[in-house]
Amino acid sequence: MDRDQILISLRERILAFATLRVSRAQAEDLAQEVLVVLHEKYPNVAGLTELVPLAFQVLRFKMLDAHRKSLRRGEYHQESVEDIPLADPGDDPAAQLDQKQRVDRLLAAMAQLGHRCRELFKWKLEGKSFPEIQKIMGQNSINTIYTWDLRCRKQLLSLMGGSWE
Amino acid sequence: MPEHDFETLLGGFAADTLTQEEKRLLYAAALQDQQLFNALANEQALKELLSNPDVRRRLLASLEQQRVSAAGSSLSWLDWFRRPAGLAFAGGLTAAALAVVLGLRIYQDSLQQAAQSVETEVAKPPSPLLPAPPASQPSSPRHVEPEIKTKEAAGPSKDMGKKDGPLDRTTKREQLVPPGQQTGQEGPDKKANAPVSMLSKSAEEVTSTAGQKLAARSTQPATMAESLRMEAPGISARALFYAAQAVQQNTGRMAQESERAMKPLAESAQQANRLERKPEDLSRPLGLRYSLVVREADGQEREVDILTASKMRGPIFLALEANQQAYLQVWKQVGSSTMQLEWPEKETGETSLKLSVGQRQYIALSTENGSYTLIVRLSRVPFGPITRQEASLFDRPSPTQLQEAITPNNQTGSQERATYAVNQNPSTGAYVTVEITFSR
Repeated sequence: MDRDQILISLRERILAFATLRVSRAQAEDLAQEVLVVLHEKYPNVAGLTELVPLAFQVLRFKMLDAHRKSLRRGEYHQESVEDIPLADPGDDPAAQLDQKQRVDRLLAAMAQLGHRCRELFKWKLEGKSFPEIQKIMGQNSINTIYTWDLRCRKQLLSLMGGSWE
Repeated sequence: MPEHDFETLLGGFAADTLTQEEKRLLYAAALQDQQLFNALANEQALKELLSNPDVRRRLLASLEQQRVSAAGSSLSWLDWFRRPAGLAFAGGLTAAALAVVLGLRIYQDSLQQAAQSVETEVAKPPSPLLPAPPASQPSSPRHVEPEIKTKEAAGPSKDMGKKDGPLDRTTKREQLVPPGQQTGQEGPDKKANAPVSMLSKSAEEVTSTAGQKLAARSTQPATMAESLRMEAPGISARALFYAAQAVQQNTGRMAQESERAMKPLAESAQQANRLERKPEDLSRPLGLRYSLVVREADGQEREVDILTASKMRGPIFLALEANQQAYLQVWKQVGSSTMQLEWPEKETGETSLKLSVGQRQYIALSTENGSYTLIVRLSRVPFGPITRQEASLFDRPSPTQLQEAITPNNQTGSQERATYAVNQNPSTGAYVTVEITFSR
């Protein structure tokens, strides 16, 4: 699969994904902006294993950016222009707070997991791949590790309230 | 990998731990599957979070902390027991429990043996210092009474002497003093003070003496019987017989008198005498008195010697008496034949019968002509069922047994004809055996 085919597939998937969250027009704009970034800023990234995760990353940034723009434009809350503060070039306190809250929720959720799930997450955070975890846990089949990890991830997601955000 | 199984790789996507092959499969599938693509897009939030090294470090630290605390609490008792500290603790507890049990048992044994030593001391009055029992015994056996009774009947002037009489244990302690130290100057007053001085002995002293005796006994067990044999010639079996009997009969009265005498004394002396006054602790020498008795025409009983009895035609009785509650059995052997139990009779179904203090047991001797031997056995405990062959093994008297034959004394006017056998061994298993050969 070459780069153009990947980009075409990506556009379709991004549009479908964004349509679930924003309007169709906004979703098309969002998909277009992602592809523009990939085309202009990352023309050398052609491999599937690099281009797809990069697309997810750009998509997330663009969606967050669109969310902030909507707030700024007052699409959610009508506010006076004079009341909107000037942008701070430093770290976004709101983003920092959001990240801190997500981390706290994640820590609390992980604390409720079982021993095996905690061990799995620990090894993954240490950077161990599934085959390596398979050896550590002494399992004959790697599918066992996949299944365990899937169940643990679903349990963690459930404890987080159904979303990582 | 089936398409529906690509979801299992989502966890690796967020942690960025997928291998190249897994990534290739997952992303290729995500481009074909909208649901998988959506799932990956949603995982991007977590991936972004985990890509932050600080967050990753915090999560790892939290997981490690939970692991340590869980390891501490989730260890089973078996895991705890396998640890060296657990083993050492359990071993220490076991050793301590064993030490307590053994210590208690040794302590109880030592107390018991110390008490026995005290009793031995009480029951071993040196004969030379005892006033010899007056030979002036009544001619009739029914008048044979312990000396203590005679003294009691002597009148109020001998009340003090009663306390320091041969049957008073406190006086017996006094008698343990070597003869050289007894100057003979002890008047009635001094004798009256004797119990007080003896009672003032501390309990420690008694225990010390008992301990010394116990040590001597434990270190020289073989020499005990030897020493008793050496003491035997100087001790009167008759005196021992009546001393023990009188002690038993007067235990209750002595306890009351001692109580009165002990009131002003020190607490230690009270404790020492309380130990002595326990009736169950009085393990006196076991004694047997036997005589041959005939009935006169007037119904009176008369003791005769064995030679006289062998020539008599009428019924002859073997009179047996014990100085304490004991069990009696009599075996009969004619010639070299096997022994047979003569008494108790077969109808009783018993091998021995209890003989109370003061109770005289009469056994009618056979009127048939011929010679036979009677073996009288006396013990503090009932004799078990034994075969005749076994009985023949017991006809030898104990090495600690004393025997004394009393004959009429013209000087005192005593007509007593009896034999006393006393076993000085204070143990429960001690027995007295006498052999009487009779012929007509």
